[in-house]
Amino acid sequence: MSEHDHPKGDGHPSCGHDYGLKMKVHGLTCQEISQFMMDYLDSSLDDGAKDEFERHVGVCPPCLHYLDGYKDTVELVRRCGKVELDAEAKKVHGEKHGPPPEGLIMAILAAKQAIDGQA
Amino acid sequence: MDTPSPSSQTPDDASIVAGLRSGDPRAFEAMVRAHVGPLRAVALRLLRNEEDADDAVQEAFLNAYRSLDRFRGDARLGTWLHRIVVNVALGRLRKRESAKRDGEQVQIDAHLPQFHENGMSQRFHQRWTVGADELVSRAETREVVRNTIDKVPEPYRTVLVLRDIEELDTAETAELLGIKPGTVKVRLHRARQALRNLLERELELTGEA
Repeated sequence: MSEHDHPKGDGHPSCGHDYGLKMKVHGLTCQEISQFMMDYLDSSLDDGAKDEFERHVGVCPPCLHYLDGYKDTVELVRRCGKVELDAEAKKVHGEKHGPPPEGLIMAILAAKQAIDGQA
Repeated sequence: MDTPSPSSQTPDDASIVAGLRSGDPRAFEAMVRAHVGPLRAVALRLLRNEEDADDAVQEAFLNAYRSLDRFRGDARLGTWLHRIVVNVALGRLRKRESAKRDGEQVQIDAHLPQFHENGMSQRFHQRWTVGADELVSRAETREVVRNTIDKVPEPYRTVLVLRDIEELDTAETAELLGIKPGTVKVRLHRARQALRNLLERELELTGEA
């Protein structure tokens, strides 16, 4: 059976478990793996839970693939966000991506002068 | 965020702060020119609108100017300004969100993994065919990622931006948003799950069109 043939509640054949009778793999369900994923990646699970988590993921390809995609998602957000910051910084220095926000700078300086004038 | 040592203060920032404190009018302009870009990027990420972002940046610089006496000399100027602009942007975001709901954004539940009653996933998740390194190397993919982040429903998107892009910690994010740290963690996890699902579909990462 290929990975495309995910049974509806019949279990994961590749895990070697009959989910029709026993839904947990090494004490945790796939739903619990999903719930504990961030805590696992933050290393905030206790040793027992961490072992259970890793045992489940070790024999359950869907959960392993979900975990890998989750980690890649976090990585993409962090790195693509930084790329945007780089582009914005270059914009300020006039390297590319349009003119620097000189108008914004002038507006800020004018507003500051107005504050000084009120003092 | 971390509290950098005095040595982390760049010479430019040190002279800017000294100038501001001595009343040198050129120091304020130097501060604006040195930090307007990164601050504008932060405001844009949170507000997703250039006009709103520019207003927030202006307000942040003026707030900083007014409260200069509260700036600790051992902190980085950029870190202090970052905190101020995030605060201003979040205030504007709260007003905007309470005034209208974005009809195009679907609820978060639609993007979260679904399970049978027995705890089994309703989908057989597959391995992504392209890794993060390769995806990040493509400009068009980076654009898709940024656009897809914007599709994560509020209030989850804001937590994702603060934690995973602005790199604030859970406690600071909770304080800024006026929510409990546990709520920050729940929202972050759901935001990541939703984004994982959206990216998998947008980028066709499992080979399923």
